[in-house]
Amino acid sequence: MKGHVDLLLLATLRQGPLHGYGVVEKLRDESEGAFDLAEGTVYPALYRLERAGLLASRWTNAAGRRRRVYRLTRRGRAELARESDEWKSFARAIESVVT
Amino acid sequence: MSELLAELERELRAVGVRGRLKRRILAEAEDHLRSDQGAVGRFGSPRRVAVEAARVAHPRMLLRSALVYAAVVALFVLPLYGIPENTLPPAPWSERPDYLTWKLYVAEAAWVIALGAAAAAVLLAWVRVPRGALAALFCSAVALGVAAGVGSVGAVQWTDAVPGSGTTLVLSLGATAALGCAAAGALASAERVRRLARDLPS
Repeated sequence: MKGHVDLLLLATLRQGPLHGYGVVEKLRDESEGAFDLAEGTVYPALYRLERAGLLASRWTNAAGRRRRVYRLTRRGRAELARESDEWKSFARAIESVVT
Repeated sequence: MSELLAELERELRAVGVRGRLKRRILAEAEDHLRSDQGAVGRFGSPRRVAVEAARVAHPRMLLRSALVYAAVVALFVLPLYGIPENTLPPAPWSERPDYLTWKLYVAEAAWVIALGAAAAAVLLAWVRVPRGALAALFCSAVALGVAAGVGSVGAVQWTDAVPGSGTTLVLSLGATAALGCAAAGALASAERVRRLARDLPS
């Protein structure tokens, strides 16, 4: 999974803004638990993507809880599209050899 | 949960992650751990989270140190040019003696080299080439030392040769000492980042 974390995090935010726990939850649900990552490491990764201009974030208050919500930037969407295409080509190539 | 947060705080401090980023990670971690009962078990080792945070923070810390250092080097224009130009009394000679002229030129040339190397260090830190940035900082520090040393000797000799220039000497040497301390602080900060980054597990 290491090396694909950025793509996975960007992809989880494709449908809308989420806080860190929401990102982890969505990643777990959509992968049906296949990605067993140390959840705490998601936060430095989100910060790194934000520093790279691929995500934007802000603090929000909901139901008395202060949470930082992340969303894709325009650059983030472009990067997600690029990485998704790369991944699909790679997966197709592997599949054609293996099957 | 509080034990895990306290450990995370210690680990972040140990790898040099401080200030706003540390507060932010701790706040997000706390929110995460409160989200469900199993979150503590799935959070992962605080050391690992701190190391990942450090990998993000260190390049920025190095860039900040390089920027501060470059700004300090630029301010050396004051003892080298600004202060003497504005406070020295008229010199008693029509042509400046050679023993002062060469020191002036060497100090100025060394300062220009120091400034160029500092700018290169900022650029290299910006594009995340830490080894290159540190090498450029080292070169700049050597050149700055030459500029400060030769310039200071020249300033003392000038004071001997030109009556009434004692104030300029005091101001120039004072500024050189203060800026030298600031430059040393910025370099020490960059060196600290290098050591912290070196000690991170690969």
